[in-house]
Amino acid sequence: MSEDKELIDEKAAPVSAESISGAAVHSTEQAAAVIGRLFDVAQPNAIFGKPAEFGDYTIITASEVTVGMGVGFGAGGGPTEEGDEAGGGGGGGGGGSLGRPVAAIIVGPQGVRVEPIVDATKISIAFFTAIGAMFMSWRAMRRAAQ
Amino acid sequence: MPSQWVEWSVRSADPVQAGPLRMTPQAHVLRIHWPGGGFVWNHPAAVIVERDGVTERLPVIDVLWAVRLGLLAVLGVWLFGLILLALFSKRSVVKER
Repeated sequence: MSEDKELIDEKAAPVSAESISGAAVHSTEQAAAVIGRLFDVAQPNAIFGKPAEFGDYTIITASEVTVGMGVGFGAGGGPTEEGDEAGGGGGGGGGGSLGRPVAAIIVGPQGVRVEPIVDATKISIAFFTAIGAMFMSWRAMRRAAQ
Repeated sequence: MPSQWVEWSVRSADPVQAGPLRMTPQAHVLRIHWPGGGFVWNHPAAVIVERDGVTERLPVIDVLWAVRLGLLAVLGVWLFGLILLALFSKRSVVKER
């Protein structure tokens, strides 16, 4: 949440960061404003880092960013046993974000090259998940055949 | 707020000048919005490099997505093979009877 607040402050949003992070949203207009900030934050400039210079080399990082958010409000009312009108309402929402480095763009005396960033852990997880799925499906088929 | 419910586009970021080179990063952007929510997926696509009037496009290759797609393809072929095997096994059992 604090990282989201810093990013919003950098973008100089018309909606204050306090109204977005850690505070209640009291109306659909505020909720719409928060969702609008979601689309403002996810711009191409947000996934490419600031160029970092190291001697003759300049490096720009490229990341994948995924952001999702949803809010809902509800209200209802009806007559009570005494004949009075009673009502209630509520709302809630949630969201999440993911960020992952994808590549590094390196500018040097030899020119520009794009170096992919290899996450061995995630590749291993994907590989073993596929192997497990293949094994489970094969075992299920064997049991069905028996 | 975007006007469309689903938007898929390639957008360019701010160009970066590094010596004689001018680089313009590009990103794939998928934006989905509905009343009360939204989803954004932002992925680097390529870098446009301009030097001495020559423009070159360098694609950004995502190794993790390439591996995942490859494994999904292998898994799909594996499941297809299992289904075929099951069908042929059933046919042979029916013929024996």
